[in-house]
Amino acid sequence: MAGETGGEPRAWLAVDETAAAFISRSLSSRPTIILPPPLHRAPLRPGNVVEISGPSNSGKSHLLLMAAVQCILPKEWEGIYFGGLGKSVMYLDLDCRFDVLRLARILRNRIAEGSAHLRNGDFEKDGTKDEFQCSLQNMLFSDCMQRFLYVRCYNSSEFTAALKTLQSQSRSEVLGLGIYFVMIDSIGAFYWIDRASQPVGENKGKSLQSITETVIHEIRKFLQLQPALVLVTKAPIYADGTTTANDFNRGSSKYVMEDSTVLRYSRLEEERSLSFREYMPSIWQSFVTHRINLQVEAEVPSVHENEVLSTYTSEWMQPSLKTKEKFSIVDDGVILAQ
Amino acid sequence: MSYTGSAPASSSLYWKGMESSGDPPILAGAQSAWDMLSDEQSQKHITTGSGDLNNILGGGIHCKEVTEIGGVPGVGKTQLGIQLAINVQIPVEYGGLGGKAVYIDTEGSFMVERVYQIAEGCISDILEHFPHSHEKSSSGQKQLQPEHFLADIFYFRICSYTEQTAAINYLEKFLGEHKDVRIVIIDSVTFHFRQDFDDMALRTRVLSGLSLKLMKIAKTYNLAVVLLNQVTTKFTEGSFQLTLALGDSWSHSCTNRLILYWNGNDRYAYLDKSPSLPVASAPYAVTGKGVRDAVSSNHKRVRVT
Amino acid sequence: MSATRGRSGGGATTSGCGLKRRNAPQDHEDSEVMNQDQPSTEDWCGRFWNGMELLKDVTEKKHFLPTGLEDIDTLLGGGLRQGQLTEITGPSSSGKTQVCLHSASNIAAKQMGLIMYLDTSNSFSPSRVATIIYGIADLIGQRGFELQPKDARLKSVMKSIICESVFDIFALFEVLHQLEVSLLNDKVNNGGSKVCLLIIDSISSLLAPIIGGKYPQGRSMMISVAVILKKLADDYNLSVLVTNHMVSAGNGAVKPALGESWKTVPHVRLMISRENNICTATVLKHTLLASGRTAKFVAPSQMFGGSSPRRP
Repeated sequence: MAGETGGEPRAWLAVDETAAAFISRSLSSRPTIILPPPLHRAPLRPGNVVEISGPSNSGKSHLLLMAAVQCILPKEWEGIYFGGLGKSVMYLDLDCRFDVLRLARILRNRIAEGSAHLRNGDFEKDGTKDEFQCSLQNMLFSDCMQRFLYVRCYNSSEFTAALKTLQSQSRSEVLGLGIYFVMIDSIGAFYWIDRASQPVGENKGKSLQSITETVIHEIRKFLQLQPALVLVTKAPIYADGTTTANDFNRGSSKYVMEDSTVLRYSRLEEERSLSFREYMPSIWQSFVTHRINLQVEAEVPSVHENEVLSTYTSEWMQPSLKTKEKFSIVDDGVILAQ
Repeated sequence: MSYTGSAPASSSLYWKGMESSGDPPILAGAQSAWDMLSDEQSQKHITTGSGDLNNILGGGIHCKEVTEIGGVPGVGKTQLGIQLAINVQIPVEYGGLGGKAVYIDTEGSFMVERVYQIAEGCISDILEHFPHSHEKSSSGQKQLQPEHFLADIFYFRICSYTEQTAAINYLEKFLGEHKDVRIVIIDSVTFHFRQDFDDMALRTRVLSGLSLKLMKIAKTYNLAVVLLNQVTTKFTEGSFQLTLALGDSWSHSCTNRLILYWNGNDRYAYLDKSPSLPVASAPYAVTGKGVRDAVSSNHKRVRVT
Repeated sequence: MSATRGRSGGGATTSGCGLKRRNAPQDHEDSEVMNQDQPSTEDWCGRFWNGMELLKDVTEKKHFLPTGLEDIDTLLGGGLRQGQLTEITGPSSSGKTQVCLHSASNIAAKQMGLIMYLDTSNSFSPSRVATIIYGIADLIGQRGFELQPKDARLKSVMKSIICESVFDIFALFEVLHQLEVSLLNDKVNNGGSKVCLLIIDSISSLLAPIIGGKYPQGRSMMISVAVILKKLADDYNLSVLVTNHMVSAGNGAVKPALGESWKTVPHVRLMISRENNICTATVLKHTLLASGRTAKFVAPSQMFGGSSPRRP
C-alpha cells in the first residue's frame, strides 16, 4: 500500500508483481468461494458484493442462511468431510426477521448428513458409539453456531454504527479466523424512513444519498482490512400500480376465495408484473459487483397433503448469464430442478 | 349484574402484581375486558321495531359500534334508518334510550312526512304496550308527540363528498355540544363517493380516514353509528352478484353489517358480520307504521311512497 | 437489557448505554451523525450475538403462545411465537377478529400473562370473550381454579385482558410508547405482571388512510410502526398479532393490503377465508416452515358462535 511505503519514493515506480504472481497470490489468499446452489454459477471472491433481489417470499433470506451454514461449517471435522469454510459470518439484520431456529435446523441437518455418510462406510454400530457421536455432533454444532455473529438494527444510524464496530468486533473475536461473510438483510429496510426524514426543501433523496454513502464507505473500509464476501438482499418496495386501484366493487369475496387457484394465479401475476424499479441510489448500484434475481415461478403440489411446494427461478443479472435456473425450497434446503 | 360481586381473595392472588395499589396501570386509560363486560351489560340497545330483527342483532343496534346496513333500492334501508332515528327517542321510562338523532342525508331520500308517520306509529305502539302509563303523567304525554320526536332529529343535507367529509369532521364538535345524541345515521355513505371520484387510491384513503373518525365518534360519545350503503353488481364466475358498494377495503370499516334482501315477496335481513354474534337471518316487514315483524309468510308487500 | 443479552463486543462501546439509549430521538439527528466520520458507537449498544446466545434466548424466553384453535396452531407450528410479529389477513368477515379474540381468551385463560388488545374498529366484544373463556375453562379444569366460583374465575381471567381503542396512527405511537415505558419499568422493578401478547385489530385500518400518494411520510410512519413493534416483540418477549384486510388485486382476486413494503414486515403471515362453515387457512410466509401450506377445517363453533345459514 502506498501509505506504508511512503518513505521510499523509488518503490512507487517499481513493478509490484507480474500478473502470474498476482493470480497465484490471489488464488491462494482469496480463493474462489463455492456457495450452495443457485449461487454457485458465478465465481465469487472475498471483496465481492452480491445483491440478491426478488419479491417477498422468493427465498432470499433462505439463500443467505444456506450460505451462512456453508461458511460456518468446517471443511473437515473428526474425519468427516463437510466442505465448509470454517469461518465467521456477520449477519446484520435490518428487517429483524431472522429466525435462529431455522439456521439451527439447517445446520443440524448438514451435520447429520455428513455424519451419515461416514457411518455408511463404518459398519460397527452400537449404542455407545451413537451417544458419543451425538455429543460430538453437539460440540460441532455449538462450535459452528459460535461462528455466527448477529446484530439487529432498528434504524439507519444503528446500521452504520454496527458497520463501524465491525472491525473492532472482528479483531476481538477469539476465533481468530475473522469474519469472512458479511450479510445484510435487507438493504432497503429503512428506505421510507430515510426518505421521509430528510429536511424540507432539500433535494430529493439527499439524506438517503448520504446514508448510502456512509454505508458504502464503512463496508469498503472494512473490506480493506478484512477480505470478506458481502451478501445483501433487496426486496422491491414499489408494486406495479397501487394497492387499491381496482377497488371499486367489493364482493362478499367469499366466492373468490373458494377457488384458491384464482388467488394464487393473481398473486403470481402481481409478482411477475412488478416493475423492478430501482430505488437505491446509483452509488449503491455501482458498488454491487454481482446481482442475482429471484422469482416465484409456480406452485406445484408436494407429496404431503395440503402442502404446496413453490418453485423459484434464479437469474444472474450481473454477470449476465443467460440461463435461468429453477429450484425449490424445502424446510431445510434447496433442491435444484434440472 | 351478577358479576360485580366482590371476588374471593384467592382469585386475585395471581394478578396481585397488577392489582396492588402501588403499580401504575400498564396503560393509562385502558380498560380491562372485565370492566368492559360490565359496561356492556348495562348498555341499552336501540330497537329496530321488529323483534326478529332485534334478535339476530342481539337486542337491537348497539351503541359504541358502527353498523352498516346494505341492500337493493326499495328494500327498506331508509325506512330502517328513519325508524332508528325515531326509536332512539323512546323515553327511558318506556324502555328506550331517550336520546336524540343525527341524520346525514346524502341522497335526498329523507321524506319528512314519512318520518311523521313513523313517529306516530311508534307512539301508538308505546301507548299500546304501556296502557297504564297513559293516564299516569301528563308530562309524558306531552313528550309523546310526533312533533316532539321530529324536533330531536338533527338533519344534515349533504350534496358532495367534500361536504360529507366536512360534516363528519364537524360531527365531533357538534356531538360535544349535544351530548344526548345517541345515534348517527348516514344515508347513504357511498353516494357521492361513487359519483365523482377519479383517483381510486385517494378515495380509499379518504374513506378509511372517515371510517376511523366514525369509529372514534361511536366510542367516545357512546352512540351508535349506522351507515346505509348501496349495492352494486359485480361480475364473477359467470354471473352477476350483488355486492355492497365501495370496495373491499371499505368492507372492513364497520363493526357489524346487516344486509337487507328480498326473498320472494318477503323482506329478510341477514347479519353478515359481527364480532359477537353468529351470522343469522330473519324476516321483517315495512308497514305503514314503520319497520315491524313480518306477520306471516304471505304478508303483503307494502310499497311506501 | 438483561445481563444475558449484549455480549459486550467492544468493551468500552457498550458501557453507559443502559436506559439512556432507549428514548433517544432517532429521526433528526441521524443525518448529522451520518456525515461525521467519527464513530458514533458510543451511543449505540453494540449488541453482537453469536448463534448459541441467540438460540439460548429463543429457547428460554420465546415460547409459542397457543391460539387455542387447533388447526391454526398446527399450521403455525405451535401458535404465536414470542418475539415475532404474526399477521392475519383475510377478506371481510372471514374471522380475523375471532382469531384475535380467541387467542386473547385462550392465553388469558391459561394464565400465561397479560394481553394488550388495541382495537380500531370497536369490535372487541367482551361478551364474546366471556363466552370463549367459559368454553375453555370447562375444558381445562385447572386445579384449584375450579374451586372458585365461576364468576370469580371469569373475573380473574378477564382482568388480564387490557383493551384500548386506537383511532389514528398518532394515538398508536402514543400507546406503544406508553407500553414500552411501562414494560421497561416492569423489567427494572422485576415485578408485576408480564404482558405476553399484543394484539392490534386491525393495523391496516390505521395505516390505510396514510399510505399512498406521492409523499413518503405515510410509508415512513408505517415502517416506523413496524420497527417499534418488532423491537418491543424482541426486547420484551411479546408476541405481536396484527390483522390486515384485503383489497382487490384486479380480475376479481384479492390480496393483502398495505402494499409491497409491508410484505417484508411480518415474520408470519396467515391468510384465512371462510365459505359458510369451511375455513381455509394458508401460510403465506413463515420464518421456520415452508410457506404455502394450507389447512381446511370446519369452523369450530366456538370460533364463530354458531352455525351459519346459507347466504342467499
